[in-house]
Amino acid sequence: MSISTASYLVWGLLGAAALSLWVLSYLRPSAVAHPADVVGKVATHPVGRVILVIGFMWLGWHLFAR
Amino acid sequence: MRPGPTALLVGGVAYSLIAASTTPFTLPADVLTGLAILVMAVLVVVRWPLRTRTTAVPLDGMDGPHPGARPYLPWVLLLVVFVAWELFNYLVHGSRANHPTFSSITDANDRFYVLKSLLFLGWMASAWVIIGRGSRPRAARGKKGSLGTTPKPAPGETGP
Repeated sequence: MSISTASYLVWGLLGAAALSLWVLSYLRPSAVAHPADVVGKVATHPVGRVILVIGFMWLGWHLFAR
Repeated sequence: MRPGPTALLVGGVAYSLIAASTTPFTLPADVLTGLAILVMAVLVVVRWPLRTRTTAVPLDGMDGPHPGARPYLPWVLLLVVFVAWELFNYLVHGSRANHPTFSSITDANDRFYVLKSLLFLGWMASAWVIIGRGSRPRAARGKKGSLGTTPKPAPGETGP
């Protein structure tokens, strides 16, 4: 297996893990919080909400403009 | 009058299709992305409370308290692994083809107009969720309850 393939495999596993947690959040909400609840937790934190908004703005600028 | 969900969706899809047709490092890309960021900033200022504090937001789908439950931990762990892997790929010596970062993967995705449109739409939809979750009514609701509990309605008040 090449380094490139292994790298993409890890990214794929991370994506699969995120999808699995998303599904689990519906099946077992006591074990895994729903993504919107995670966002709500950060968005109502005094410092977390500032980091969240600025980080999200930067992400959009980085992905689509620069 | 507030726009309905259908109007928002149609508007969002149309805007995403236009924004995805631009090329990064050009004025149209700067303007269309910057405008979306500006709208997000305005909505945050208008809809979010000026001050907040750490609150226990009631979890959707949970009907009662679960002592010892750490439902946020799996997401925190995933974020830590994501950041560590991103930093490793960014800092390690070697070609970007061998060590792709999240940005380089999305750059590849941008070659396909429909995928780029979906990515832009997803970014704006996520911003909408962020704004909604931090807005005044939700923040106020979070102060009433504790983790895993649904606030009880006051006498004479109907439940959600």
